[in-house]
Amino acid sequence: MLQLFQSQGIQELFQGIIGLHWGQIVMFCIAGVLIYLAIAKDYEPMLLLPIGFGAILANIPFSSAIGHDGFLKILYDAGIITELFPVLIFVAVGAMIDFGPLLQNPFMLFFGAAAQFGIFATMLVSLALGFDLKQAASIGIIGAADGPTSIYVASKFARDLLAPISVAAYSYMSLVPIIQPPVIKLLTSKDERLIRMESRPVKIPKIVRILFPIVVTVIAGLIAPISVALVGSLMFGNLIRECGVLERLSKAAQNELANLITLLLGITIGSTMVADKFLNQATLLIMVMGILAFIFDTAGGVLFAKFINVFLKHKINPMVGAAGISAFPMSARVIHRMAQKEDPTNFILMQSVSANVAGQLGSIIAGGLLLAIVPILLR
Amino acid sequence: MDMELFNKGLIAAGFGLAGVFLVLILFYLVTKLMLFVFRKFPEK
Repeated sequence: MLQLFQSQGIQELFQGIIGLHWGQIVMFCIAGVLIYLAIAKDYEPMLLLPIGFGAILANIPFSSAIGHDGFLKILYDAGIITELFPVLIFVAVGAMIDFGPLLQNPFMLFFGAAAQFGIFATMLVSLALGFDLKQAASIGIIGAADGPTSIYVASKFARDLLAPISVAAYSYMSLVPIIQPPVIKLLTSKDERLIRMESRPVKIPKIVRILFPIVVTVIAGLIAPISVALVGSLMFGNLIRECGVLERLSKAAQNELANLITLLLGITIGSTMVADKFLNQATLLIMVMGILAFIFDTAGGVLFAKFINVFLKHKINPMVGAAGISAFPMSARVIHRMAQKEDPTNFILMQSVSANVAGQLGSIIAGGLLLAIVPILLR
Repeated sequence: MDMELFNKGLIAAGFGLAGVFLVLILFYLVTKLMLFVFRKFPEK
């Protein structure tokens, strides 16, 4: 009997159970938490659920899903290493974005820049904690509050940290309603939160809607050519939406393409959460840095709004500054809800949405600039 | 902490944030220009 158990054939039969160690069990628990958050709490379910399940597939000992010929490895090589998935997601996101609110109120573009402060502040904190410049830039980009940008930059700069960075980015994006309000309240007075902002709907000529994505791509591309893949794919999606003659393609990008790539992206990212690489001090630090990035972003937007209010006759509600992060439309909704809580007759949804859309532009520009600047400094 | 690396980080952060502002200011100016032009000469 003992001989039978010790024989190689039987050991191979039970290699999954024999090969299981505590790290993989911890990863199953983490995957379980992600799946729970997705299903029970509705936190970014389209991503957290595939990521959670991908993590389970990757941590089963001798899993055929991630080996040399495993389908998740093939997806990783084809979609992440080549940066194809984030770029395709951007086409889909571009087709979903309506820049109308921003074009009605272009001044809000400045908040899309100010709220990227968290990216750079977190990068510096990460450097102080001992990460190298490329890793620090990848960790900072969690503050872009934009999953595809985080994945794109991390896949270029720090592939080893791709899993914790993606998980942090998507988790904290879903936690915006919990992270932002206390920071905003801490930095604003009640009087400031009660500031009303005029909103007059203005008709945007169709030609401007069509030219906007083209002009944005050219300007961003000329300043940071490396950002063309990010900005260009986002704006290509938006052009399909706005041109008015490609309705079928626009709908396909918004639905089929977005759903398919989201599904593949999530499970592929999950497959990188292998216990040996994921359970370490760096992951823990990245999770802390991620929340810090969102706090710095929020603070940057609010403080910038307070600063420019010094020079403005018609004051801006500083809470709108916090909507300059890219987590769309969640951040805009959070800010509007906060304003309504202070005064149910105060409507700042339009302005918040404008700032939020500006944040989407700001975050990819920030990602593109980091991709351009960091390699130059390391030469 | 590697001070040389941190200084590089400071440069990256400074140029990065300034760059984001610069690009978005350009977007602002171009958007305003487009709105001005196409409102003044509306499409037929």
